[in-house]
This record gives sequence, C-alpha cells and structure tokens, in this order.
Amino acid sequence: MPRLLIALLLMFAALPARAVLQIDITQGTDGTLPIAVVPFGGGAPEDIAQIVSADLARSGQFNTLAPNAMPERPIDPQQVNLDAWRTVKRDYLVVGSVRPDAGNFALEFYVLDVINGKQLTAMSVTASKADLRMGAHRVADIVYEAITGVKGAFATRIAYITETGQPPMRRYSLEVADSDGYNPQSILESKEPIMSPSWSSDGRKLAYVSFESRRSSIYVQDVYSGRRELVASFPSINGSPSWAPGGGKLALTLSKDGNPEIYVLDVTTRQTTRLTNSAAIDTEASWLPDGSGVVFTSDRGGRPQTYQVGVGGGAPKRLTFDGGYNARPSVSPDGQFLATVQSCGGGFCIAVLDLKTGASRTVSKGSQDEAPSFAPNSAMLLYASGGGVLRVASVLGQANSTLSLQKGKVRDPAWGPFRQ
Amino acid sequence: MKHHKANFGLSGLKPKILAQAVIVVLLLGSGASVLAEPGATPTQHVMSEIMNRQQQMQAEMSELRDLVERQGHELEMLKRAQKETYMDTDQRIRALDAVVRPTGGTPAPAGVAPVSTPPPVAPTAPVMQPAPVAPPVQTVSADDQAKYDQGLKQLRAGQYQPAIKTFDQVIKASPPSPNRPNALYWTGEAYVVLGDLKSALHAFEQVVQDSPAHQKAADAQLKMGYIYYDQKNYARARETLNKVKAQFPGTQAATLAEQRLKRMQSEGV
Repeated sequence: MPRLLIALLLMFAALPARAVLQIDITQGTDGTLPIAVVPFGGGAPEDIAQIVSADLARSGQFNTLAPNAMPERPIDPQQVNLDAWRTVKRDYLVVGSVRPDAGNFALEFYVLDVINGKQLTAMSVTASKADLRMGAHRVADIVYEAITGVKGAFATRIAYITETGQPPMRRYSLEVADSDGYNPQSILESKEPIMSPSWSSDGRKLAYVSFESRRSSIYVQDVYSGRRELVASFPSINGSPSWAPGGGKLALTLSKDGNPEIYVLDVTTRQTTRLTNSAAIDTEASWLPDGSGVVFTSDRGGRPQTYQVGVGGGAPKRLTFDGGYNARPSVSPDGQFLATVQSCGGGFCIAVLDLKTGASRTVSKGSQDEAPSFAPNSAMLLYASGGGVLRVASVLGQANSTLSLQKGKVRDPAWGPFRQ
Repeated sequence: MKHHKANFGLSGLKPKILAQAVIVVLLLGSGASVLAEPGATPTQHVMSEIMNRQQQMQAEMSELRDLVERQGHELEMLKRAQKETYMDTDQRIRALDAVVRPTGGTPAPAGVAPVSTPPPVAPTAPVMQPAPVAPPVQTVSADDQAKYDQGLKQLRAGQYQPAIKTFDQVIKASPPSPNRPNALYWTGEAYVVLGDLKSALHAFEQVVQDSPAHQKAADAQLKMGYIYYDQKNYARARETLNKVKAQFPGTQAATLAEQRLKRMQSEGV
C-alpha cells in the first residue's frame, strides 16, 4: 500500500496540469464481459493499454485484468496462447503495438474472441503526439463496438464549470476536457458565476449562462476560436440554455413576461417562442433527441417534477411519479431513458427512468448528486457529486467511478457529442 | 441540499421562495407597505384579503393538479397491468386446454409449455371480504369448523363484535385448532373495522409469531404495516413492509407492500 501511494504521488508530481482518474467500481461485476488489454509493444509516451482498459472498465460493461495478473505479453495475434487466457477466464483479448509513422504514432491493434479463437477486428489508428490519448480513446471505441455492437463514446469531450478560491478571490472557469477528465482546458474565466453549459450537436459551440454583467445573460461560444456572442439578455432571468438537435435554436428559461417559463430562441433571428404557460415555475428545459419537444422541470403540482411539451406548445405531460422531487431532466440520445435528480434518503441522487417500461432505478448513491448528462451512446451518465467532483455511472451496468480533477469544485457537467 | 437548491433553475432560488418573492413584489407594487399600518383603509384590507385567498387557491390548485396527474398515471399503469393479466390468463387457459384435450391429436400450441405453467390459482388478496378458505389438510373437528364458519358468516354480515367472540373460541380451542391462524387474522380485520388498532395489531402479531409459514402470515404482516402507517409510525411501517417484501417475495402481499412503500416515498415520509 505505501508503495502504491508513493507511486501515485510521483504520478501527481510528474503530471501537475493533469486530472487524475481514479476508478473505484463501487458495485459488483456480475454480468460484465471479462477482457484483457495487454500492454502495447513499441515505444509511446502514453500507456495506451492502460487508457483503453480504464475506458472499458468505466463503461461498467467490462471487467478488466491488471497487467501483473496476465499470463503472457503478446503484441500480435501470432504470439497469443489462447489456453493461457482461458485459464485466467478472459473472453476477450486486445493486443497491439505503437509504431512511429511520419512524425505521428500508428496504434495497431487486434481484438480476439478467446472462447471461439476468432479475430474480431484488426485496425490501425494514427495520432499525433499531442493527440495520443485521444487516439487511445478511439481504440477503446473500436474495441467497445466490436464486442457490444454499440458505438463507443470514449473519444469525446466533456464541459464543466470549476469554482476555485474564496471571495473576493473566487474564480469561475468553463473547462473542456477528454471524456476521462484528462487534458482540461479553460475556455472562459470569470469572477462572476458561469452556469449550465450546453453543447451544440456538431460539438463546435457551447451555450452557457454568465453573470459577468452582474445579471444573468446567455452566451454562445465557439470552442475552437474562442469567439463568443451574447444571445439572450432579457429583463429578469435568462437561464438553462439547451441546444436543439441540429443547432440553430436554444431552449431556455426566461421570465421576461412574468414568471419563469420555457422559450425557444432562434439564434439567428433572435425570435422567441413561448412553450409553457403556468403560474408555477417552469425551467431546466432539455431537448428530446428528435427535436420534437423538450422535457423540463415544473412545480405546477406543488413539488418539482419532470414534464414534456412539444415545440408547438400545448398541454405538458407529466413524466415522473417516483420520488417527491425530479428535477434537471435529460433524455438519452437514443430516446429510451430519462435521467433526473431525484430526492432520496434526505438527499439527492441520480435516477434513470426507462420511458418504455416505466421502470425506474437510481444509479448513484447520493447524497448531493446533480446535473446528469448522457454520453452520446446513451450507455453512461456523467454527473456532479457532493463536494463538487465528477462521477460517471453506467446506465446499463453497475459501475460508478470518479473523475477527480485537481482544481476546486466541479459542477454542471455536459457530455459532448460524437466527434466528427 | 443547499447546493442543489441553488441549481434549481438559474435564479438560485427554490420555486416556493421565488413564488413568494413574486408575490412580495406584487404586494409592494400595490402599496402593501401601507397595508401593514394600523390606519389602513377598508379597501386595502379587502385587497389584502383577496391576495391571501388567491395565494391559498393557487396552493390548492397545485395540490389538485398533483392528485389528478397521479391518478391519471395510476390509471394508465392499471390499464397496462390489466392487459398483462388478461394476456397471462389467456395464455394459461390455452395451456390448460392443451393439457385437457390431448386426445384430439392436435399438438399443443408452439411456445406453450403446460408443465411449467403454474396452476391458475388466484392469490389470496388481503381484502375485507373473507376469502373462501381451502379445506385444511389436518382433520378438523366438526364443531371447530362450524364455529369458524359461523365467525366468517357474522363477519360477512357486519356483526364484528359477535364475530370476534366466535373466533375467540376457535383461537382458544384445545387442542389448538388448525383454523387458529385464520381466526386470528379475521379477528384482526374485525378490530380494524371497529377502529381498535391496538387489538388489531395484537391479533396480526400473533398470526406472524405463531404461524410464520401460514399463508395468512404475509397478509397479517402487511396489515400491521398499514396500521403503523395509519398511526404515522413511519419507521415501523417501513420496517414491517420491507419484511413482507423480503420474507414473502412474489406474493400479492409483497406487491402491495411495495406499492405502499412507494407511496410513502412519494409522500416524503
């Protein structure tokens, strides 16, 4: 144990600007797929197999094997002794190597079905030195898809807000990082709060709320160029922006006509259309994946619950009935699940409702969980947990892991789309 | 909790607080500062009264909306459950058909396995009507059985006190009557109707303690949970209902216990 601690400390010292991912699978591994990702051959500045292995474990659908428990270290299929891997109860095996390729690195790898002795995939991913981690995430995506048949969502990015320091030195920062929390970059810093980032479906723009003018306003910022634009600064509240699928429109909360209601704003023409009309508070809109309407939080029934309304307006339909509180709704990109922040045991945890069967379960332990955001493949959920750390929960499996960033309190995470 | 509240909406205010804030603004706008003064004019009193009423009505509207939405949802769930029950029954009947008429030479419909299908016995639901009791395996003295039947008859007729007396004879019989758990159970139900929850609890408790394996034990424990709930002893209610779920999985009582637990959760108790 002390040795491990020292190793970890050394890692911290060597990577001062890096986030540190620590996987703590909190529940059992029943029903997960046993896999081993053998350390890649050749030389690379990053441990590719380690990144791939961590990605697969975080999905909650795989259980991985530590390198010191591996019976051999093959780097291509010819060297593999299948019986040795059957002995350590592995169903799948990933072997590969890193080869320098005109200033870049080529990651060549093979996915093997150990039980049937078959090769499922042979691929090569090329990445620059700076992009090597993203390259490894692409490898993980391909492995994930070859085995589960579902597109992987590891080579994606996340956005979130960090809060550091105490008043009057408090600073807020809008950050963008890899899906595992590594390579964080600040794209906006402010002395005043920043909230509710939302990705456009092409992954180029973020909409967010900023209090930089001492009152709430909504901005849209290009992630690459940094260019930003004020899109909503109506009297009173301007909050909770959510990009419509396909872009061009934002759903948001405005109270310009009285109390907080859901509106749709055309970003080009700046026209607003009102979707809700009630004496209660309607807020936290999030789009249905087909763009036909939004889900939102309303306390029209006395306590906050999730409702759905079409883009044409009309009578909202209530979606949540379990628990006395269901806020901050988000529909999975495949349209099957609804994630909410639900009251549980005196606190709040993340609940997932299967919209087809009506079955509901909590995927986090609480007690201060908030802001669930689905991965673009609908298989994982990112959320902020008490004290301001980011966690990832498996929607289908049982895994739950922490992305602990070194900087301040983290909140309002938003998982970006697939990269094009 | 605090942190989360701050994130409901953008305003950093909980809905109620915001609603109140809006009302305060309205009041201020209409000269509410004058209202508080002792020398306020009658018109201002009337206005203040109207404001109060409107606030009350809005709160009541919210409550009613919540109720209507919940009932609509429950109705939808019931419809779905009914359809499933119907399909299940239909499948069982077809399975039985296949068993009863094998002589016709027609093969059983594909996908139907008569052997694995449980017999179509409806689970005994713990409702107020005394359910018909299956003939006990042990020998019951004619006198004992007659007493028990008489008790049920009285219960059906709404003669609760006499029913309790009759059942008491069955309960106290020596040697112990095989009908004892049933008699205890119905005694409990009779006390519930009479509003004597303490005696009811005592009766149900005896069923659970003396005959934990009896089919009435699950129902008795469920009823105990209901009584604790009615007494607002929510911790005990939760504990008891969870026991029903754990000890009698798959029974109607377990389902009903689950439903009540859900309801408690939604009521925040």
